[in-house]
Amino acid sequence: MADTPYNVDAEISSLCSTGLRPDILTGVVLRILTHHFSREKGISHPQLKGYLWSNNPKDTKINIVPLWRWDTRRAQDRPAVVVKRNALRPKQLALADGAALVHDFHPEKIPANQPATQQVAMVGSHTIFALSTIPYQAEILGSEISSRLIQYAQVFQSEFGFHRFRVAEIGALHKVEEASEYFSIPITVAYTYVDAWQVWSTSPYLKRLVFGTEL
Amino acid sequence: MPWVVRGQDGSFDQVAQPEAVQPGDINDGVLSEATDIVDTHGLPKKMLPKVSLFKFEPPKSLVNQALNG
Repeated sequence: MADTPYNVDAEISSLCSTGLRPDILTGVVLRILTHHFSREKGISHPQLKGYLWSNNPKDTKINIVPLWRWDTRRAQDRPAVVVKRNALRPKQLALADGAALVHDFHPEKIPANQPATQQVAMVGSHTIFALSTIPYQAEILGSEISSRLIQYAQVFQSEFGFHRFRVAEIGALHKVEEASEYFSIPITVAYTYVDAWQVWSTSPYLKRLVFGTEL
Repeated sequence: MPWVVRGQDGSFDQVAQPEAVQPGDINDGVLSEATDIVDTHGLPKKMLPKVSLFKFEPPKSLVNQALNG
């Protein structure tokens, strides 16, 4: 069967219940990268074709890990992609904390005791370090990752519920301070999303009033 | 230019690479040559700036520019 432009049988994403939290955001970036390097068919640069990612650290030809799991002692000179979350900043929305921006916002349909949805915009970024002990390999690894992120920015934006998802910068070649034998191309992706919630009270306000007297 | 296809199983990255461009063609050749120079001579390596993976933090303005531009 021919490939279709849309996946109509998609399962409900776990993001519906978890939302985009800092740890989930790192997971999203890792998911994009591990999926890309899981199949040779998806890798576009001919010299990277053999570098397939595997969940087994012993078998994988390329390490794709969050920053806190990157261990240079076990890297064995393999190329690596290290993902670091940068600062995430809440940004207050205008017009009653963005209540008017909720798609299903119909004030006349909200029962008297139901609170309105509150929202806050979150602005943040992740930096993806394309690492190799060979400078040229770091360069082509960075190119492979950055071009894929740019090409699929709109898809990631809609699939993962971002308001906006963009590649902010593809850095120059650097030496790595923590592991001097490695070279790095830092790629920064910037994103923003809206976190929405409702606060329900389980008991009426002022359910109990305590009066006292002092003599 | 690679052809980007959205997979039926929800995958993002099925890419058909035109067969005409092969490793060793002019672009790869030029880049490989430049790489050899970096690999064989110590001086360019010493001149490279350093980055700390743990301390790296992009400027706030860079992030805002990417999102608002």
